[in-house]
Amino acid sequence: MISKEEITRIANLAMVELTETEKSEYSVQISSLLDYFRQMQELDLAGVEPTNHALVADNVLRKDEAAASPGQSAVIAGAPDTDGKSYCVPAIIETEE
Amino acid sequence: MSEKFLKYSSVKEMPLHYKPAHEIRRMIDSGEISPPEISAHIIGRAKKNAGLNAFLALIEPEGTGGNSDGGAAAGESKKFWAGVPVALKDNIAVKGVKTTAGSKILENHIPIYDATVVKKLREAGALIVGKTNMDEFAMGSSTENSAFGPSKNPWDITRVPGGSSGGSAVAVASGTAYMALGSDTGGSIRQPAALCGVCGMKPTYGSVSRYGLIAFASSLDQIGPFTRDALDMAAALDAICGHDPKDSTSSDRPAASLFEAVKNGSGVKGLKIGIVEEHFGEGVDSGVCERVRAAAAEFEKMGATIVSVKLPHAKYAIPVYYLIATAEASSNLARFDGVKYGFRAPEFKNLKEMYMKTRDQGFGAEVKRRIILGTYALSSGYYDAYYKTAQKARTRIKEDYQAAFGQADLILSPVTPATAFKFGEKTADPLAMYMSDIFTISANLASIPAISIPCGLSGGMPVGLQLSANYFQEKLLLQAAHEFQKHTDHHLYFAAVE
Repeated sequence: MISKEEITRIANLAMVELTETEKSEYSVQISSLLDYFRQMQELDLAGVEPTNHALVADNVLRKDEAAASPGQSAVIAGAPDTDGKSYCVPAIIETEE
Repeated sequence: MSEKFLKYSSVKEMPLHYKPAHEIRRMIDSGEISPPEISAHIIGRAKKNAGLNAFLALIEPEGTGGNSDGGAAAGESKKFWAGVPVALKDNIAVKGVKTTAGSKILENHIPIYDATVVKKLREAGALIVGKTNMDEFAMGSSTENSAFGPSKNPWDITRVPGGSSGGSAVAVASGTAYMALGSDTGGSIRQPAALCGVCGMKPTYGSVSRYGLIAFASSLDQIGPFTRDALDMAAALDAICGHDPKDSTSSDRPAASLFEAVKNGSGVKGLKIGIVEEHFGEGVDSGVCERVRAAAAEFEKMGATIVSVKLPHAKYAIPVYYLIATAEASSNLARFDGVKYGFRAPEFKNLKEMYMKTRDQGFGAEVKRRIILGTYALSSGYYDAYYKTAQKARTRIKEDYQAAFGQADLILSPVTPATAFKFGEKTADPLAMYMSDIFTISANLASIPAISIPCGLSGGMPVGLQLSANYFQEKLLLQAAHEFQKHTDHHLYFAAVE
């Protein structure tokens, strides 16, 4: 069983705020999913390579050449808060209270 | 009970909106109809059937979508898709057109570039008529997770169209687009295609560029088409496949020219088609089993041989898929933080609260549930037990397919365990919803191509037949599907949409 406290800890890692109702719901639902998922443990996977890439795992390289880009104002145009040149966010370094 | 469906004996007999695209091509080329007449008819129908909620946005030809004129000007009309109305799932970026991925967090998102598939469709002259509804971030099997309300199944509006590319399936099934693109991470094209009675295909991983597709699970996501028949499917793949330097997982194999190869295919004589006995077992609706077994018998009659194959690790596909897909999703969706695009929560005290409230208010319940599950599977202490175990089991699933394709050229199975379910039937139980993907997710885990084509009705609702093939065997797959459609009429049934 994944406790509500554990769900809260994970939600914090994932940066998602959850209501108390959601925490209770997810605790029950995710526990039952993980119970079902544990059937994988009956597999003997010793020495099996994990699939890290879907089909090919080659590095893709290209020449280091400049190419056209959309430009600063176009890129930030869709942001919720800008000063016309940069994204605006709340202060990152907070002053001590 | 009155018949809920329409049945035609030939493409000639069909109304304009239900004809396959290859017939529309012929009609344009012979001057029987002009592209503006077709687009007016299709957009008119889309507006009239707005209640199906297939589209999140319609793009009028003269609108802001930057559509070409369909490339249909004199002398340029020989391209297959020139002037033909098509639709795109709303997780595919179109420059200057709102692209929401069915999420509140992107409700006002306007991309500044075209996805590679959009660029290719424009080059092919296709007329993009709209963006289609979907489960939020492609997470779901019913479109009930769309932030903008579910789409309705045109065969029975009390039932789901399937998902996550439900809107694209509804558009093709209701005669409001001749072809629509979707994305398939665990069955999100094939499952709604089956439930809505149209063709839907997930190509080999890497054959279609994912540049401009809003990512869900990058090692599984693949763009693919919905069409009326296998010939249109070949033409759609011809338009969208090909190497793209902007997608590092894009295959550099030269894309085959499928349309002519499929049209002139030499039948299925001598073809070995594999069947997995467990696919017809417990939990699979008897009507579905019956239709799919009848399709296998039809292939035998056409000269193919049915052989029994085994996929011993298929029963682990749901856990493997839901651990890998949610882990990748938790990482991909980290970019939605209220800074770079989309929605930001209106009230917060500091940066962390801004992130947390934005993601709480911007994401729906299923997306949050999957982010939590994926973050858990990747978190310290659980990584080996869940994520890494799933990656190893994925290797086993791939090996199973390689062994099976040593014995059979294609594998035939149901697409879904049952026909379309009612709204609300599975929303309270995530596992029940996830189980509707049981026959489709293995193809994503193994990166192989698979198609869903109509194979009859059960209880008045469409049943899908799935054919899968080894990597890059799209030609073989489509030739078999086309041959089946030459011998049967299941693809000539349509929902009775006014």
